[in-house]
Amino acid sequence: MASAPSKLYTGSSFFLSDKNNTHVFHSYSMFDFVIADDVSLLVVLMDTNPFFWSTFSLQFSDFLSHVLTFLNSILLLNQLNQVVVIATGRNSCGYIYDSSTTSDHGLETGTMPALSSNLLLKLEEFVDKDEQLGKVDSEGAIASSLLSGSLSMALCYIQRVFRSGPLHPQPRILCLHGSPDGPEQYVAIMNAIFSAQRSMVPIDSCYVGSNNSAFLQQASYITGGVYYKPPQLDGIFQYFSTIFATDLHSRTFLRLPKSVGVDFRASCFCHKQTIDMGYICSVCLSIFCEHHKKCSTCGSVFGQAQADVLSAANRKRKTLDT
Amino acid sequence: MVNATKGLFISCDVPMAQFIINMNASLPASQKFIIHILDDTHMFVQPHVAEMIRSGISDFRKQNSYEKPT
Amino acid sequence: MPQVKIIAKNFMDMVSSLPAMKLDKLYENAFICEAILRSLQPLAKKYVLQMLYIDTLVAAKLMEEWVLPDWFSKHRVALDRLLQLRIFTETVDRKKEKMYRINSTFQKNLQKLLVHGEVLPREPMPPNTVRLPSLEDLEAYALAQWEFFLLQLISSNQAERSSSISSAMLKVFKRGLLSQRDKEAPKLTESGFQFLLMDTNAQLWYIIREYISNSEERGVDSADLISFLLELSFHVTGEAYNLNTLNDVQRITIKDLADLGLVKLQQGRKESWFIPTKLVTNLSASLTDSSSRKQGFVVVETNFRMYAYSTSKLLCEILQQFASLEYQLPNLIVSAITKDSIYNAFEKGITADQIISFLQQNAHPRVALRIPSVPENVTDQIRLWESDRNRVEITPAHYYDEFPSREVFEAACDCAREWNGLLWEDSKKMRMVVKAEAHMHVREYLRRQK
Repeated sequence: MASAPSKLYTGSSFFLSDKNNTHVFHSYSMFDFVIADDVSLLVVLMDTNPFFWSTFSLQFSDFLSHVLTFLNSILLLNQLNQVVVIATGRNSCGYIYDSSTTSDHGLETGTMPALSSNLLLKLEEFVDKDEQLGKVDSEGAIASSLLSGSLSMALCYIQRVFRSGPLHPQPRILCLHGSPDGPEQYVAIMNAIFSAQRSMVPIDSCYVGSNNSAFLQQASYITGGVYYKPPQLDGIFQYFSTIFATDLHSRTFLRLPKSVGVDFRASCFCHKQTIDMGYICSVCLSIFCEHHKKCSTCGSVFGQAQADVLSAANRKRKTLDT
Repeated sequence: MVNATKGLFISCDVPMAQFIINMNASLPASQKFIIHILDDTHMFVQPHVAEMIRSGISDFRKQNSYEKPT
Repeated sequence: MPQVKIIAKNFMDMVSSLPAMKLDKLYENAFICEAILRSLQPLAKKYVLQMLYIDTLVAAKLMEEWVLPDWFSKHRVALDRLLQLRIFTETVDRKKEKMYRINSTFQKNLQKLLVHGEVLPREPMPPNTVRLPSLEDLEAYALAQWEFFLLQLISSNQAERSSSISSAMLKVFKRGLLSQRDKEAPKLTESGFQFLLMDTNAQLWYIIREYISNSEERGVDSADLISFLLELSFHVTGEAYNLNTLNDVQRITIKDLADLGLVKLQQGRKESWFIPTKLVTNLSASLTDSSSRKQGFVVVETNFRMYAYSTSKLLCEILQQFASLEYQLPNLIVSAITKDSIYNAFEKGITADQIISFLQQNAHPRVALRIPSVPENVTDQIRLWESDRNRVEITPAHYYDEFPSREVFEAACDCAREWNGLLWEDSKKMRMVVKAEAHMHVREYLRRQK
């Protein structure tokens, strides 16, 4: 997957000279002057949905210890690597940790900070606040987390990094998710995915829930990231370090899990339910499960539905026949 | 019987070849150094003239430089 | 002109050439493990991470499957590097299969780092007992010291103040960079010029390498020195550390490093301490060949004028190597690139590429974003001047003619080609020119033919 343009362009001219003529060619090649190939910015979106974690086989605290070790290993690999953690709650999302701010650093240099205490504190505060914001209304089915919110926050942060100058690390997003997909977030998530695709930011997903997540599969497929559902949960750090710690430069060399069969089902825009067949507006490509007079997104007026036209013709024929 | 002659092989561009030939022609017969002119970009000369050719070329080059009149 | 390049030899090459026992001892220091890990290529880093928590042997065949088939050579290069540094150990099992395992000391230290984070062997001194200089002052101090040191290296009469670096040490550094003939002032060698044009981190590493290779002669164990230097690079810039936390050897080293500008020594009423500068904390970052993010200061214009916004004497010296100085103002050096000045540089052994890459790497931020940062007509002209010196190629050779038959001629040509010595041939008139080195072989061949 090509990474975002983070290298300086400089011109170089080379000479082709044989004994008779000297031709001068100007070619502009990419010169990676000041950033090593594997400097990365990793934005981790961690699912903190209490409804999911309370019913899950792995304890959230165990999971968190694997994640912390993994984050430490990312910071260990390169002095200039950065890690940002955003928590995906049920009703809100929030920044939990940013390795480039000095308050989260134990020391000013690129050494590994004592990230545990700071991160855990902020995480606790976030989960408490998130609970207070929510209304306990769903029973039975596990409610979904606000993935669209955290994806958008991640992309905004990455945009800011892009604008910080010509020297910036290569960004990528890693979703650690377990809750099922919320079809009401379909539009927002797809928008975020396309925006990530345009900025060339791969979205990796490590899905630990029961069935596969269609949204995350689509996200990784479209942006060129890796979607993986670890078969064994007690050694999850090994999956992290083997698959998700790969920086973008090395991805061209290594064999990473390829997606087999992506669930491309969409949700309709009117009821937010997953559908297989439906109606599409020919102007803006919005999806509807039943016939509408007007498209709710772009406002174009629809003609009669095919079925109605056919039944109208049938009725005409019937009246003619009789 | 195959004949082998020792010397220097010169490879250059056409103008330089002409320059060297000219330099050769301006010398008295006893000092002429070109043994064979192979084609318009190569020639074979006597072994001791490398420095002379090089200094001749650099003089020629200096003559071609523009010196701003003071 | 012979193309001699200073190989700012990677520090890692020096480390990997240490004997096995010394390497293992080095790995007992967690900071070294971290620094060495960071200096590896991305693929090698990945492999270490993957093997970090695996205690059993892993088959080489299995590891080959980690990488895509087209990139197998990269896999081999990474593995060789890891084996060379003894991070991976290789064994052969009963089925004659190669197995790899990560070095256990290295592994333990890295695991500790991952779970607990780092702890420096010494604490910074409490802030109210020491008067710390501001970060800007510290950086200015470091730069001034470093430049002064470099100026001393280049010419001994440029020193304004007497140097505290022992002349023996200076001699060590000057070796290879300066050549001195009797009764003449020491002149910079080709490598010396190339050294000047390198960026600061590469220069720093060159000096440190010389310092470490010289340490054995002074009776200091090079492994200890390396581990102390790498440890230093993890300290915090601008924080003071008490000198009494160092052993004797380390204290001498600190003093030498202070002369180079890597640390600043200060004395209080009862205690003395050292403050690491940015130069030393960047040491571990620049273990690989990636250059530093220095701010540039040179603007090259299309009329061959150069404006360097800097006050350093060292820069003045460097620019004088290939440009003719016109004026020097309080914050600006104005010079021009002329044919004579560039020819001078070529005479000294500097190549066009070195000059151009120096200009590009030090481009002022205003022009650095332009494509290209140095105007094409200037770079083209420098290259043309260089190739102008090589218009004529002169090779000692032998001229063969009067071949008795075409077969002998063809055979002789082939023989010459095998020895890579055929310079020119004319099959119509059956004559050829063979390089002097291959002449013997062709003559032998022809003699054998008779």
